[in-house]
Amino acid sequence: MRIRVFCILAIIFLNLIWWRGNSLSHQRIYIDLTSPNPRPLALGLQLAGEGPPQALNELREVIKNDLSYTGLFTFVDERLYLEPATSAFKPENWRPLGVDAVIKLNLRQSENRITVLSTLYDVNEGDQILKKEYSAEVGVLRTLAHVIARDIYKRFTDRDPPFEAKILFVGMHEGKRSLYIMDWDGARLRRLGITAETIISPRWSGKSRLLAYTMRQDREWLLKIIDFDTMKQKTVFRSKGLTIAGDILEKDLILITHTEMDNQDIYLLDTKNSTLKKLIGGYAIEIDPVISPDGKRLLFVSDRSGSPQIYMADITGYNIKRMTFRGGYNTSPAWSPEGDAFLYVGSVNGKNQIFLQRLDSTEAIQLTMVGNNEEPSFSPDGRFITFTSDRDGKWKIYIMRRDGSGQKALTAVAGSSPVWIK
Amino acid sequence: MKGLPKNRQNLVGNSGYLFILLALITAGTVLFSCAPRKVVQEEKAPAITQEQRLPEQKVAQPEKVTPERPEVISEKPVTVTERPLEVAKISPEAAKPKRVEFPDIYFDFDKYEIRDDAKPILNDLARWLKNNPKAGLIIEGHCDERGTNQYNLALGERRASAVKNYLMILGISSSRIETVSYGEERPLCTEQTEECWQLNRRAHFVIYE
Repeated sequence: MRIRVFCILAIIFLNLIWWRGNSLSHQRIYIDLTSPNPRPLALGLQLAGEGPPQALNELREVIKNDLSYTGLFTFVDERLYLEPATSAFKPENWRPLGVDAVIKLNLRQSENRITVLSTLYDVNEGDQILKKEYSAEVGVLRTLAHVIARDIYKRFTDRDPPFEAKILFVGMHEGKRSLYIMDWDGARLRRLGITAETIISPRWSGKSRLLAYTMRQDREWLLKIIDFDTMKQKTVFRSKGLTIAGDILEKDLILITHTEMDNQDIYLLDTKNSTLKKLIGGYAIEIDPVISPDGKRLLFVSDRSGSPQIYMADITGYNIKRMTFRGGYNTSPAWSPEGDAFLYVGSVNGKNQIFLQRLDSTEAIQLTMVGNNEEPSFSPDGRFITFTSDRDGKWKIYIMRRDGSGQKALTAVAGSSPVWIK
Repeated sequence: MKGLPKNRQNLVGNSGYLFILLALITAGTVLFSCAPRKVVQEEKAPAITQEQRLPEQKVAQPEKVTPERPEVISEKPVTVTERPLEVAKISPEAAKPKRVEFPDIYFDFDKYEIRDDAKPILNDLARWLKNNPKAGLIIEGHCDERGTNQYNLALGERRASAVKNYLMILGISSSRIETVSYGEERPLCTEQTEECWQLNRRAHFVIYE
């Protein structure tokens, strides 16, 4: 009998040890992003060490903005902190404030380099859950902050945030169109050095790190591809009839809208030997092809029903299925990174609004309400959407969360066609 | 996980006492390693705790955040990107615009069918082109701002093509006609009224010799 009790106890303890070991090897996930409404974590953030005050401030603000814009984190007012920034972490200093986790950043600066030691503490467990050192030139302080915020986000969610991603868009420069790039928070706006009378439809392929876009020059439509590893570009196709770049499938294959015999159809362009293969034909307008994340299907716009609507087809061009039935003007489809839903622009009372629709449903959720809202595009992690809006009088680049919350302008300048670059 | 307890029961069956000894040692270890963590933690100097944990977690690998590549784009060989762009103007061979002008024709929203009120203008235009066989024609298709950019480019192209086809039916050779779509990019007026939108939904004619 006694032996049995011991045995049972032993088994319990062994299981306990096994369980502890298991939980150590698989880090605890604090925020389950698969749940519909995860409770936001309350964070404390403290900076200590040396550095120019405005640099410290910028670091703090960028990290706070990145994390709090996700809607998954809140920051407790710094004036309430009990623990001096230079002191070691003690959980009892934070528990009364309702803080779940504390970020402590220790800065050192030598000449032009800044070194940051980032340590993350779980207040509840009293544990250190992340420690990492970063080094960067002072000039890329904001990128450094995005990287620090990325690691913190990743430690809590086990997912990659888009903090380091860039947003590329078409803006104005000296009365013409020009390609611009900026950080995901709208900062560090730079021009790519390409200007033309008309630039439309930039499309990014993260897999091949290529950007395709369309410009008009000398009364011709030109498809251009920029290789972001070499930052060189080339013209891959030119045509008198309307031709617009769609998604890049792989290095030499790109979906395009192209006009032959006054008819806009969707083609697959092999850029190596400039051959075209028609995928979606018919006398109606067929434009705006976007490839699903698994490469098997495409969404496009057709007015074959008498008004523009979103359709889905296999990549072979077969099995065409109408996806939108609400309203008489639905265009600009964009896939979710998971491939289970898509965004589009639909007309409501004469204004264009952004809708989110699951593939297995004909119901759509309206995400925008004010002004005209167009050109939606998902962030690489699928949790944010960039779009354009004229709600403040001129067309600018905006961002919102996937559920339509947190809508804000990213640019003060006019812009169109935002795409995520990562 | 499911197999684990079963295995252990087998172990107990084969060499029970050795296992109990092991279990007791384990129990002791667990008790001594777990319990003080919870109870006496506050007495420990946090600094020491951190130093102890640091090497075992191995998270202190420095990550270099290197300066980003400057994003300046250079074109490969001799390219046309930097050449001054003259899209708005007429092509070099069409450098001499005729002084003759024809009024714009208008379209319904999201439509590219030729309306009846446009036909007299197109008939006049066709007659003039027949009498001036050296002249060429550029048809510009335009849209109002309410649609989306890419669809409007297609719509503008369709409007221009519809005009071209109408003129071809009246006997004008397609080789004399060029079409171009500006979508919603070149509105004649920018108010948000039906009058203004109607002015923008148009085909515009440029005649050259």
